[in-house]
Amino acid sequence: MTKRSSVAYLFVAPAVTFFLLFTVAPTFMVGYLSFFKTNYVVSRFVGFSNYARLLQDRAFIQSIGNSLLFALFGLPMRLLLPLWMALRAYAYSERMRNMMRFGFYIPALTSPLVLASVWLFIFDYRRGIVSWLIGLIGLKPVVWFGSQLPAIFAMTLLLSVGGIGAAFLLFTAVLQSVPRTTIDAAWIDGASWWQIRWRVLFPIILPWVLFMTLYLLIASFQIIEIIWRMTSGGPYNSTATMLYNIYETGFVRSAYGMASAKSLVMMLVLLGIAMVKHRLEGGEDRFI
Amino acid sequence: MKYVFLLFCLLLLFPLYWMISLSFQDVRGVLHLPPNIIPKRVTLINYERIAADSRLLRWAANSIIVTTGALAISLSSTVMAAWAFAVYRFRGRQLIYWAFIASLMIPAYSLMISRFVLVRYMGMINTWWPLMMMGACSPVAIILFIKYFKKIPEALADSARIDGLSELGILFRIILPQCMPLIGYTIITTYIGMFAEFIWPLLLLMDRRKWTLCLGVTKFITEYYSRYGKAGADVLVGISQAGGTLLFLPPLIIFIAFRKTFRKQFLAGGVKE
Amino acid sequence: MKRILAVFWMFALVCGLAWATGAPEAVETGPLELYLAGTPVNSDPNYAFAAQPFLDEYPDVQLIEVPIDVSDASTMSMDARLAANLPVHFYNDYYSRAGKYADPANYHPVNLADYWSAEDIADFYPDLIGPYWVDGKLTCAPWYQLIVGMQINLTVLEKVGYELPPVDEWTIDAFYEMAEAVKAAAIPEVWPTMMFAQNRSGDWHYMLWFASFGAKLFTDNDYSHTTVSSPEGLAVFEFWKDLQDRGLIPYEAAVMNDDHLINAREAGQLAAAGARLVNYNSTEAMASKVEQGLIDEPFESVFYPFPKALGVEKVPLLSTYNLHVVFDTGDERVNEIAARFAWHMSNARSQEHFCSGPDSMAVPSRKSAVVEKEGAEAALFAGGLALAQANGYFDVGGSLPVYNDIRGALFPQLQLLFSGKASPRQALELYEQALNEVVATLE
Repeated sequence: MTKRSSVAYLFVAPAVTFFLLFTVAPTFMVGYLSFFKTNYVVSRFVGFSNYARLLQDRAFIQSIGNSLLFALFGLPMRLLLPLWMALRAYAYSERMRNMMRFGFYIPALTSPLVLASVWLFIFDYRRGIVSWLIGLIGLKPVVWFGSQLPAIFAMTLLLSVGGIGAAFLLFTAVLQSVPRTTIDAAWIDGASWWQIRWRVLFPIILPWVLFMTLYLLIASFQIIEIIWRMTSGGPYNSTATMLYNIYETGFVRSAYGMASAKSLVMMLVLLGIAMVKHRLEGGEDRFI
Repeated sequence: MKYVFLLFCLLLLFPLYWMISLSFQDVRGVLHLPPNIIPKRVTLINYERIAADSRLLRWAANSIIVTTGALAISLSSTVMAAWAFAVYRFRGRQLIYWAFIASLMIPAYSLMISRFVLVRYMGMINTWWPLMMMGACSPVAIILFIKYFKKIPEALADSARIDGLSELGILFRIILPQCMPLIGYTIITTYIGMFAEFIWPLLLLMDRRKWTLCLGVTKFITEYYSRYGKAGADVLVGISQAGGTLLFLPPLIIFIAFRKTFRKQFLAGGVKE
Repeated sequence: MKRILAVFWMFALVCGLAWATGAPEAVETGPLELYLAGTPVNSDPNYAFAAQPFLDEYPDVQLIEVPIDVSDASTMSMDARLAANLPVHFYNDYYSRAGKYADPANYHPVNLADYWSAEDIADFYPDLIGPYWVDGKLTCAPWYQLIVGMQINLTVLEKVGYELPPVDEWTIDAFYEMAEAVKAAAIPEVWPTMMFAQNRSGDWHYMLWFASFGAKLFTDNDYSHTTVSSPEGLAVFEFWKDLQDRGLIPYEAAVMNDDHLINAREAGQLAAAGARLVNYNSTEAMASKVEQGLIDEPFESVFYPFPKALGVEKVPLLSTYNLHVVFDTGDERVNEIAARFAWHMSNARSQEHFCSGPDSMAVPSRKSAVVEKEGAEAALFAGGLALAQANGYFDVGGSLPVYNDIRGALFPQLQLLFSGKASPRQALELYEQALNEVVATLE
């Protein structure tokens, strides 16, 4: 893998330039701001007091747990399900696969924010389809967004509408890149579809699955738009993700110094999770 | 099992159908209980309202221009950078890679105002440039491409090198065609992501004529509410669904256009012994 | 291919150069641009009317609208502009949002007293403008107000066979009687009233229940702490819980928001609800609603204060209004022009125009602005005004810069109350705590 390195610099230059401009520089600015109490017009240096105070912020600490709950609910719906379907779909005809891709991905084309209003309607206690269906079975309808777990469940369901499609698309794209020779060889050796799926395909796709898991976890901390529309973080901050809490601190209460401090803490928490995942993988992908 | 999947497809498509169905109903249809699965009365009034009062076509055109420009910039820079990471060894490789990963963890909202300040000092407020450049360093895309590139056997690149192709040539002539599925995936997700962007264009674009589609439609809906007062707020349901349907159309078209790239398979041939 | 790379390098270079040398625009030569937030002078004829004399006075000045988005109760777009030193000269918005920016401790509003004459400032009603004098400086100017009280749907009451008592006999007991009558009649989709707890919006409805029971959020203009924790305050929370228990409001109150109430009220499905004083019975508005399919037939409403509990003499109303803030740019000349623009937006001529629109029941904030109403409108308007003058206004801390947080302190507690996770007493205590935390941030 040791090739001439000078060309490599040219290759990475554009991406790195944009990265420096739009990500690194603003991040340093945010870090700088975290030592101030500021609303961008009037500022006061406060040292580490923002960091000290955020440890006592009940809502902030709670948001960590909420975000993990979102991730927990999201795992089966947004990751495992599309994975299983992609593996099964490998055996199907190209036409079938295309139909599935089409069918799964079309819903992903709507933004969750737009679907949110439909969702509120569907899960409405009085007029919603879900309540009507539950009534048909004979159970009592639930006020979906009135408690933490039903609300998180409903919101994860909303995100799955898009998430399933995206994950399915990715997994099938990867699976398709498996050279047919490998499959053919296994087939000739007498392997069943079940064995091919789990012994051959699954190991190939595993790194991607792990990557998507990490991505899902990180994304769960950053769910925000649907929370605006659906629960405003309630009831009592129980569906507020970390980003929602940060958003409220910064943009609603204009406490940008504290919001910056919280953002950095969030980054450290997520980096920690990524590190843990890395260790668990045996640090195999030490580089990539 | 196949049929279970098909059923599942339909289930997933249902909210979409519901949104479109609501967009074609007036207030009575919207509020009717039990819910009208099939609209009893179909009307175009929601769409008429949107089309009459806004610059829909202009906004749609703007969105397409911005997103295409963004894709051009971001695809080329992403693919080049990912190839470099996957294949070459150079100083700072580790550091930059971890910086990319770390940047996933800083939420865009926290950086929003800092980015805005930077853009302002570069004099790019009220232009489309920042929108186009924002996606250029998407860490997710880079990481996906790196993973994909690593699966490509070195032999392919080596044989091309023996044939005398330059490094850049190798990338664009030999390697790129192999990763069409991923490119197709990136094109689609970028289009969808950019079409759904609201906050950043809101901050950046002050001229109504420069607005993107999502910004325009969303602001139209919120302004409709305040302009026509609280009376008729239920009309909003129909209008927001209509707006949502309109926002959904361009990505749909893109998806249909690009799904063929998924058909290209990894070709096992072409490797000289 | 190398060309592409070259392009990128040049692009990066150009960006770098632009960044290094692209300092904010220096001296303003040429036409002055005034940036307006929340002031659609180019699209709304009413605003254009108000701005016309200004444009006649200053033909060289260009008015540029800055789009801000307040749909999520945040002021991100404003803050971003201020952070980037992009000028915003004039800001017109609801007092809960604009009030934040009129706070000299945290922002730089211009002292309007430097640019407006003393007699002119005296033209404003002292009660309205009083709170905005901070340290001898006038930080902003209030615009026309809308009176908030209770809108009672007479048509619904007729259908359920309940007769509305006169204003001085409008008590909580009478309210219960009415509500039970509406519930007993069981007309589909029709409710006695509603409550909601999903977000902070809708303060024009829930705040007045405190007034009903004689509870006070703040007493005698002392904003250092809240006085809501009292037997009267407890009575309010118990009343709300009671409404839910008796089925007089929808069970899912915890997840409803003010939009639900507004929709129901406008569709004639609520017997009583908080509302701004507008021309409820306007024939054109009713006709338009029937045409849109919102309602089947017109309904008639009347404007009352909220019902009074035992021991309460008069239930105050609520006053909501916009604020005009002018930001200090450090340039005297610009400040003067911006202040002049603000004057044109808030002077008697402008207010008379806005307040005289069809169906508008707004009350000007200036004594010299005179609004004539005709016919049935006049009666409704005069009645509302008389009520306001007799009963006064309820103090919710609306003039404080932290009002947005004050109104945001209640809904989490209501969520607990309506989902049964807290008793009325617990909810009240939590509310008191939250309110005190908010006002503690005032300096």
